[in-house]
Amino acid sequence: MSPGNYQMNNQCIDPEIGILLHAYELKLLDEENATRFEMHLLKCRYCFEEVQLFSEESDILHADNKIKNLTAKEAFPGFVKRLWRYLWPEMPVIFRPVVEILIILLIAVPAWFVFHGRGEKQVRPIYTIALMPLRSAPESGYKLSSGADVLLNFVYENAAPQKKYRIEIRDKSGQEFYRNDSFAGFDKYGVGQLLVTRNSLKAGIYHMIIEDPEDSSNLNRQEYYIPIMP
Amino acid sequence: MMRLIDLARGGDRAAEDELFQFLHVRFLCIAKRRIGEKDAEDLAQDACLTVLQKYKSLPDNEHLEAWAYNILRNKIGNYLQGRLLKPHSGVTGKLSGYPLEPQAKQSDPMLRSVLTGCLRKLYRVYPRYARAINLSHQGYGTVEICRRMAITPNHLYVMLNRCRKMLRECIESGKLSNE
Repeated sequence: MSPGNYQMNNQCIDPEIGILLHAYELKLLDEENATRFEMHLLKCRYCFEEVQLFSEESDILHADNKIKNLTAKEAFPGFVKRLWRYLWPEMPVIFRPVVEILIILLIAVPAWFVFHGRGEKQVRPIYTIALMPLRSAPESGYKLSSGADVLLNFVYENAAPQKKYRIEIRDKSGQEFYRNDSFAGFDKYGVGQLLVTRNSLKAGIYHMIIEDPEDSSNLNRQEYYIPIMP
Repeated sequence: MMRLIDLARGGDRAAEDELFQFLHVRFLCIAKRRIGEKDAEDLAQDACLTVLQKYKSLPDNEHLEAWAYNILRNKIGNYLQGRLLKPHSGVTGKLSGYPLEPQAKQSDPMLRSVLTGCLRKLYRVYPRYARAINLSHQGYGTVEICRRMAITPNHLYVMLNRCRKMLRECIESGKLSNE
């Protein structure tokens, strides 16, 4: 029978003292605790075998100069090394902060463009102009805010919904600015709406003509002037 | 140990031999850590012989381990006292800063290389372990290390044992358990 085989050797008989194991190996214990642990070694086979098995390693760990240099370097790493350790620690790749940050960016950036960018376009301001039928060009005009598209509201008497009308807008020099031969945007009250982008509208007076192509009478024509201030 | 002493007291020769072996390996282990390899063997043997000469005269077995350990401690104390009184005879002639510290023996390069690799990995996972070992290299004890790291001694012991376990696993298998 081998010495001390009356006790289990796969666990410490007194964990309260057994916890001092590695501190003892590294010679960190004060005299009182070192004595306690050494007396424990006479009783506890597990701790004794652990000390025996790891003695060479703990000697190197405690006294080897190369290990000392390595430890000193690792104990006080530089900023870059610390940052890198923080971003790329020893753990499964998927849980490393760099990967997590990349995943968040991959999701967040497109989402920002989708929700923020598109939303901005959707709520782009619109400047509404209710046109009044006039015989000649007015002296005053509309001053449009920059970036706002223009919604023209106009009336064509007896216009029928879904029916196609011809709309033509010319600038002061008579050059065609807009033409639509099949405009079907009138409601049941004869009110039509036309959206014009702000960028295409320059300062000046525009002449708008609305006609029913099927009607050849003289009262067929409705004219508006759209004066835009610079 | 109690059982062996009981048997040995009853005249069991084999038990006495076994008791000697039992004490010798443990005394040797403790002596090596206290005084180094050089004279540990002689000292352990001397302490064992003293125990074997005197254990029969003890009235009971209650504090036998403490008694045996004290014999070893006294031997170690006498040895260290003797070494302090002797002039130093180092090869280089230089006085060591810690004359009672056992001399470091030449370490196995293979084991050192494996240990270095494992420590690099372990230090990345537990930088506090590196800090504790570094402070121990600087000669600090538990109290000062705990003060500097702002932890309790119990916390330090638990961390050290946990890292020791991982280090052993790494030396055996080549990788840390959480890799």
